[in-house]
Amino acid sequence: VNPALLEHIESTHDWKSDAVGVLDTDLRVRAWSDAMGALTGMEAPAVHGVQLGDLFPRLWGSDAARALSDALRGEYTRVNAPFFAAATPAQGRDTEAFVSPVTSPRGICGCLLVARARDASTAEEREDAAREQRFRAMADAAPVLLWKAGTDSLCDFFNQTWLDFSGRTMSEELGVGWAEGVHPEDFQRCMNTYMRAFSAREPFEMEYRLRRHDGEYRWILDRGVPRFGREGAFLGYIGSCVDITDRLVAEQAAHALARDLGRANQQMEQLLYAASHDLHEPIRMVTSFLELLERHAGGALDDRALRYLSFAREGGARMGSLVDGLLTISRARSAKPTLQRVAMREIVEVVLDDLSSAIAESSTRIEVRDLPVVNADPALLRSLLQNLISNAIKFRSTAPPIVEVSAERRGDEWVISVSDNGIGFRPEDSSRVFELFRRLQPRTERPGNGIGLALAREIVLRHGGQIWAKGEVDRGATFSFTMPVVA
Amino acid sequence: VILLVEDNPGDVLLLETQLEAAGNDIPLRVASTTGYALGVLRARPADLGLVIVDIRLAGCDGWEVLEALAGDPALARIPAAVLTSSSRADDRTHARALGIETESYFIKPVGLEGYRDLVSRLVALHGVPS
Repeated sequence: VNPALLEHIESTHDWKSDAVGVLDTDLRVRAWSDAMGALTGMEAPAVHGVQLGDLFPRLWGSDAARALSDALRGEYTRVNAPFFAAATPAQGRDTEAFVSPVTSPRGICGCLLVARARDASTAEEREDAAREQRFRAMADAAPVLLWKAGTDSLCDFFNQTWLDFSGRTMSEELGVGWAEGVHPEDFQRCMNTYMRAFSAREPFEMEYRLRRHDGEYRWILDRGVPRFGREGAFLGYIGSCVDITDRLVAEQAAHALARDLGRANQQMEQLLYAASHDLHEPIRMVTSFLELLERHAGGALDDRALRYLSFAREGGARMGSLVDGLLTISRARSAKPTLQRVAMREIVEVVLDDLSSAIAESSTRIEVRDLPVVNADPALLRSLLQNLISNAIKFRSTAPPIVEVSAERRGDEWVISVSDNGIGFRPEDSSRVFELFRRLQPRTERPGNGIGLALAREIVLRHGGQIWAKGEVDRGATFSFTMPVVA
Repeated sequence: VILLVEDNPGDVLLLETQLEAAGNDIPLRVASTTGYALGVLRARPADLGLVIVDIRLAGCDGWEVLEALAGDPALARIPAAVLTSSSRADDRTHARALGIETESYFIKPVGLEGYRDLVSRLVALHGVPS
């Protein structure tokens, strides 16, 4: 290696920053940059002329030694393995070296060694470190409490939100420190859940009380999932927690309220049933014996006494029919409908058959349009339609009565309507008609017990539908209810 | 003989009157408690042509009588009927389990008309007295 060549090499490198060495064909050092001195811990004057193998006893037999002899044969090589035997920490740093032949017109006259210290970590590790950095930044900004645990089940990270919640420092929480904040009554259960999930590498969910910075225990919903790295290696767990105290309190209040309501409702139903049932007995006695009395002693009574009797009997009969109605309503309210697919048209035909004498007597024209198949309790649906159709006939005007049964689809519901051209009602009464025992017409004109429409409404509600009425005085009425469309 | 297990004197009187009105001379024995009814059943089973039971009695349980009838082979031949104000479905089911079919399960009628019909059907169940 002649001086001109060395000079050329020196001029093409930055002697301060590039770790460069020039060796002759005997692998003796001919040039050694300052940066190489810093990297190896051996300065240029000390190494000049010394054989590389003497400087680095562990060079022999290594990839680097092979690379050097390859370079002397004209090859360019990169050596990844640690090149220099480590005596000092600096020398221990992982390096890579590029080895190339140095040529002159007379041929190969040595080799050039450019070394570069690498970071302690691999590219993958650097990538992981960057990801970790991003994760922590994100985690600290998250509105939920986050933790991370390593493969040893010990926690190695808590986000800022967690630390703000607990009012403790990261070092206090690390490992199992966080568990000091768990309510003593929840501690064992918590640890069991955690360790069981951990050994099975399964996700887990647990609720426990965790002490907040102000000393108050708050209910926490903690969800943990195992983390797996490249090629499925288990890395530990990550978990997120939310404070569910407010939700739990609200849920408990709602449950208690629903329970109370349900109980009150059930008691009302039982009372209604028992009252209507037990009233039956005395009413039967009154009506039956009044009848017997009239039959037995009727001949001996004057007209006035017979009228008294007849009022008493009518009253008894009316009591009986009211109690019957109550019983019917109470049954409809407590019965669970058994839903099945029913063709409404068939039900209407059965109802029309039941009502045939009323239809014939009133000369009512019944028009049945296309009706859908619905999911309903057949017996209840029949009772519903019977009430609506018989009502339409009952409240006819002097005009020839016409009753129309029709259906119209609105979104995922059917609207079924029973319309008539009867006497109608005042629009402001349209919701009162459904009230129990409510009568808008004198009994003497249109007999009835005020049950029918209340029962109809109950049946529709049981099926999850709605019912409403539209009417005007002397302009007829339309009763409509909804049923879900069968999928 | 008809054994009527009934604790309401009104109902007893109504049934008596209507049996009479129907021109029937089948004797009616009345038990107002299940204990007395079971006594009659065991003492003179051969005399009985029909047992009519109100299942809801004050202080005792009419079902006991029906259970005794269904459970004792010596009594099982006697026709039994339920006469009650209960139209509850589970009562009907219970009765059916004890061999009381729908045609022998009667709801107490509200008017005399209903009683006449009831009596004729009860008499049919009793059969011609021997």
